[in-house]
Amino acid sequence: MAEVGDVILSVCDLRTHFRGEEGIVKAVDGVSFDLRRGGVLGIVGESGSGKSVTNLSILRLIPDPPGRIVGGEILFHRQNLLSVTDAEMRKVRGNRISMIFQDPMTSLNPYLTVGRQLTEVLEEHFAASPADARRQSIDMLARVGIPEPENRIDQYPHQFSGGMRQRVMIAMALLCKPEILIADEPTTAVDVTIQAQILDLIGSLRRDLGTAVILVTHDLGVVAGMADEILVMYAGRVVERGTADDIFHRPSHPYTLGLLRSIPRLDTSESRLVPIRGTPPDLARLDAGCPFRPRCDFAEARCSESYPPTRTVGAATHEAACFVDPATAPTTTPRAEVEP
Amino acid sequence: MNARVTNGKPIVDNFDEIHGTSLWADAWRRLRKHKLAVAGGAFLGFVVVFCFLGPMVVGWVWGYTYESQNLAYGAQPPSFAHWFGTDFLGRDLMVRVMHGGRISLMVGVVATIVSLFIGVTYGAISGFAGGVTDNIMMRVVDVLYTLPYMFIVILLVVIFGRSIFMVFVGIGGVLWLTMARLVRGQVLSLKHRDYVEAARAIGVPNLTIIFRHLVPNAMGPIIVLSTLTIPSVMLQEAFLSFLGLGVQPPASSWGLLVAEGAQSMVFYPWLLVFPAAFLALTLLSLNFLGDGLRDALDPKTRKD
Amino acid sequence: MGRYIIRRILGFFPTLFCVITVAFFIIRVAPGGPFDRDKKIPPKVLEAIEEKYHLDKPLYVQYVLYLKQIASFDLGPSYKYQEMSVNEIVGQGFPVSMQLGLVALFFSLMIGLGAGLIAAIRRNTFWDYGSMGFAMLGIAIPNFVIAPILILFFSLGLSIFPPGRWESWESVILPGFSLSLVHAAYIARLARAGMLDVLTEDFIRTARAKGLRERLVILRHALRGGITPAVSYLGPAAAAMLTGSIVVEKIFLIPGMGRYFVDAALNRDLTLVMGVVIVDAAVLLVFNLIVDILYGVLDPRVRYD
Ligand SMILES: Nc1ncnc2c1ncn2[C@@H]1O[C@H](COP(=O)(O)OP(=O)(O)O)[C@@H](O)[C@H]1O
Ligand SMILES: [Mg+2]
Repeated sequence: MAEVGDVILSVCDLRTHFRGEEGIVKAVDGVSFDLRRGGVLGIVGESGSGKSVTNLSILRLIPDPPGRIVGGEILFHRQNLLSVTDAEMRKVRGNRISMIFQDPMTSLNPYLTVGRQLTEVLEEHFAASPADARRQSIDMLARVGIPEPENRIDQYPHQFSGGMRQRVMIAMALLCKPEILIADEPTTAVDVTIQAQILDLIGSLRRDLGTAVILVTHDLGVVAGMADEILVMYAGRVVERGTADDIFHRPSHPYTLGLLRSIPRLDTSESRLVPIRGTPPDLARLDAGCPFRPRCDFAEARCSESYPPTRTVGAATHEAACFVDPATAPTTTPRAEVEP
Repeated sequence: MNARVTNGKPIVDNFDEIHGTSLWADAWRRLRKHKLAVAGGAFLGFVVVFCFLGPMVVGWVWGYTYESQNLAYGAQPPSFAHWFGTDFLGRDLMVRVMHGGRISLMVGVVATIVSLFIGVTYGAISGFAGGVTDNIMMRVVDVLYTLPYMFIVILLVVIFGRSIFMVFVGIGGVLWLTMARLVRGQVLSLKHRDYVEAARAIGVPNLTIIFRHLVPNAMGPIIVLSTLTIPSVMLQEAFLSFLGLGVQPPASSWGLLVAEGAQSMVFYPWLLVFPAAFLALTLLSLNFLGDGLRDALDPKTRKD
Repeated sequence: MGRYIIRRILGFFPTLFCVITVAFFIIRVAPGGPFDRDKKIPPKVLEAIEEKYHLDKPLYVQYVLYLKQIASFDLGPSYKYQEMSVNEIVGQGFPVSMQLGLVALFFSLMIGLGAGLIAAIRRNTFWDYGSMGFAMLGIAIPNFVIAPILILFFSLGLSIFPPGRWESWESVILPGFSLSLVHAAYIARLARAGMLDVLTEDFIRTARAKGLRERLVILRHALRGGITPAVSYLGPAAAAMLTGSIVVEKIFLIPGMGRYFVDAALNRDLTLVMGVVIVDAAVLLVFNLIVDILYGVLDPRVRYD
């Protein structure tokens, strides 16, 4: 594995809100994390927990209106990206920090050839000549495993399969050899058989290029093998963070526990899968308490009074935002009795 | 509520019903927030009252009808006795605008209702039947689309002559093409829904499925298109009246009043301004209302 | 692309044939023959005339004869303008309407696309509300109101353009502009809506995430998809402009097709009506064809289906 170096990206208390019809939606509300050179940060959580908004905020791609980054800092090499000019921000996007998206079917422009969409990145950032840009693009397509790249480069996205399109997206993101690759659920929309290939590809390119990766997923299993650090998000906040080991072997937030129970595991004998009951909260109607408490098996009275402070668990790298430790606390709501 | 919870999702027995009511309630709420649509709706309400009750009030207060002439008092500018002024024959313009409005509005509504009946029936049957039937029925629509619109309208004028209402029943009979295409598209996308398949499985007759299940679910776009059809028909009426092929004097319509007013706009501008303002504001209101309804009923295509 | 275009072109003739057939029978079924109104014509003469125009034959024979005639590009003699053939009348009026229509098409594209794109890019600003307000007025105010105002202002007031007639290049400006306004308004609305739609697409976010300048995002990535709705409106709109507006031709005293058409219909000059219908339908079909080809040019998914 490549050397993990110093912190290159530091997100501090990021807050991104949307103005909706029912009021302010606090999609991201106080998220902080560090990303080190060459490191892999996994972000997990149910859909709607604010993972994409966190990442779009880093690149300042939040549509405004209705969204706005209302607080926090995003320090990239100590420079706050939230205070640079639009022109400077453009020089970062796609060049030093790139992003690939969930749905490769809609994320490529259907009206332009794949080649056009690749070369324009190099032309924009390096003022590359058309011939140069084309050659580099073909190289990159070959590198991400697209056969006959000299021919495929002149085709349109609809002539590629879903997995191949995601490879094109990856090629596009890596053309400028970025320091950070943000992969927002890169495997959610592709066939199960392709998912492992895509993840392998991201892993090996990371090793070769030394790119740091933020890997977003709602599937804990995906990040288990890759991430140095994992953030678990719920309702716009980080509820637990730690190494893969911490998260998998000593989950310390009831939500993390619930996530783990709901995915199949090979390392325990328990074969029963238990979904988390209830539905995600309405982000426009959060109160002062813990937003997970209506679904929580360990909820107590104080959970509705204030948001639980962050508590260090065992190793210094392992934190959870919960009053109780699900490993030791008794459940307050026996599962069998849950009937609304 | 009689709902069970499995997998974190409530299971409700009749999903469509709940979805349906909340859809309309939501749409109503969104429509009320659309300022232009509300203003348009309010103005339309005013215009309807003005045109249909106004003449009675004027009759009580001043005693004019739309035909009462006073040649000695011709082409007077607006005054207290004649708020909108008078025309060349000394007729009160306000009463004429009211009467003209009745005809213009009725013509718009009649033609739209005709187009609604034919278009919805034709489109729903075509979409529901599918296959060869659908293909043939849509080919017919394509061919009719290609016939020059003015050809049909003028032909109608030639056939029905002075009977303006028959002309607009006929125009409704031309406008159904767009409605038919729209309804067909909606039906195509709805007909494989579970509740339709279920209804078919238990032997509900096809016509019942079409008019009980499919058409009501396509109501949103149908309402929107109808709201936008009314102004375009009113504009057609205005054009025909301008060409001398529409409403015949002494009857009147906004189109006819505007056409007459346009000829003397330099020296008698009020003859143009009042009817033109009513026509334009009514058309604007209908368009705003249509836009608002579209935004309210189809949040996907909302533009702001 | 070649196969796609050929398929579209092959669809042209059956449709035109159907239109001719439908129009032919609608006209013949409509009450009143071409010479019914002229009560003064003695029966003998009427018979002679009807024989000359094959009106004495059964309907299907008339139809077959008419088709044969059309096949040799002969639209037949005019019933009313006895000294002229329909080909001659159309040959006079159509070029005039065409020129007027091309000017109007140009205006409506420039104004419509310009206003629509600006409104979409500067959404919810003065520019957006201004353009859309004007578009609404263009749709709601009939052009027989706008045209006299334009004449009043530009010809009688400022004497920049002539108020009517068909004499010099300046005389096409005002009517062309009047004719274009309503179409410009629709194009502006469609272009704005289309652009706003496209700008919410995922691939636009991708383009921004790549660090492209906003100008490239708009012009290279959004424009093609954004103007598609306006392009589909353009087929019928261009045909309507090029085949002559009855109202505008009447106001500006322009000797185009529109005027002949009304006269012909009112006079039951059936061959002339048929001639105009055929030419109009053909123009509409040609423009629909052009639109289909434009779709193919704009969208590779259409081209390669
Ligand atoms: N464009 C938007 N407009 C309004 N609300 C948004 C928008 N994008 C995201 N949100 C809100 O932010 C919340 C978090 O979304 P997201 O970050 O996409 O979740 P996920 O964790 O699945 O990536 C959503 O529940 C939604 O309410
Ligand atoms: Mg997401």
